[in-house]
Amino acid sequence: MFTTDIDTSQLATPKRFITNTNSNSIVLDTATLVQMVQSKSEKGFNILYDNYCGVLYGILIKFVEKNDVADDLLQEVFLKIWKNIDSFDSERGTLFTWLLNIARNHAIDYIRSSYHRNQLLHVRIDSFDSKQNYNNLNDSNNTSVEFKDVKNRFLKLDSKYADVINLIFFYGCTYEQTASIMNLPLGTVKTRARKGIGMLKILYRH
Amino acid sequence: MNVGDYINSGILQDFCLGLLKKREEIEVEAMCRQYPEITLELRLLRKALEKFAGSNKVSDRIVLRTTVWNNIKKIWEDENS
Repeated sequence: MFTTDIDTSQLATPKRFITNTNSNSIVLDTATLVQMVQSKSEKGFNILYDNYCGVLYGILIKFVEKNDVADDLLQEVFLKIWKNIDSFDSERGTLFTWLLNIARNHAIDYIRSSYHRNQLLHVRIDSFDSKQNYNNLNDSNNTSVEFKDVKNRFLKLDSKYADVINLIFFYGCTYEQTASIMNLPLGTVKTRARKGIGMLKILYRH
Repeated sequence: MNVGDYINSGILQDFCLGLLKKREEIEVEAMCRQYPEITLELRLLRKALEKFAGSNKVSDRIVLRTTVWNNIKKIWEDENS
């Protein structure tokens, strides 16, 4: 059952949303948005899509590297979100984190599929699974294609910042996990992540 | 409340990284409603992360919305008919 127009009670605070189609939109009231999507409102879907397609696509393209594949996965991710929104538990985490995890897991499932394994044998998604593997990345002979690609693409961002952001944002590590993997103090990891994003903002301002 | 101090506190970066707890996320949302400059900063940070991911053509994905919606709607209706 779909609702193309949401119940007026759900619009009690419509101004809390930025409902334009700008991909930079920020959801300002996620609780209301979740209710809208749970009621299978088309408007709810539109707001959800406009606010999160960019960042979710970013996660997917980072893993699969191909636009057409990422487009397909993006649709599958939104279908998964649509089907499972009732299982979202705000007491266990934020909507944003939940969405990011769905995208990450979906991309990883795709990469691990036998089809993709045959297509891209050189992709090593388990590179970040252990401290030992992480250290191996510093050896140029063992550097994964994906990791090397990031380094080449973003030469202006020092790798000490990029590495932290990669582990947290793309691989879903917490600050504590990142500190353990990189063998760095927790405070250093937090500083690098926050400063790194600030540097990215300057790099990509135009 | 000093908006500049809040922006520089690191909480917006943590928001973009998906590291906030529910209570903290609600706080950021409330601050965005109250201070447009915080909303703007959050947009810039998120956009930077998207570009970092190589999602430079992300605006193009907005045009896919109708297609995605129609496909999801069809699948959902087929499964629940």
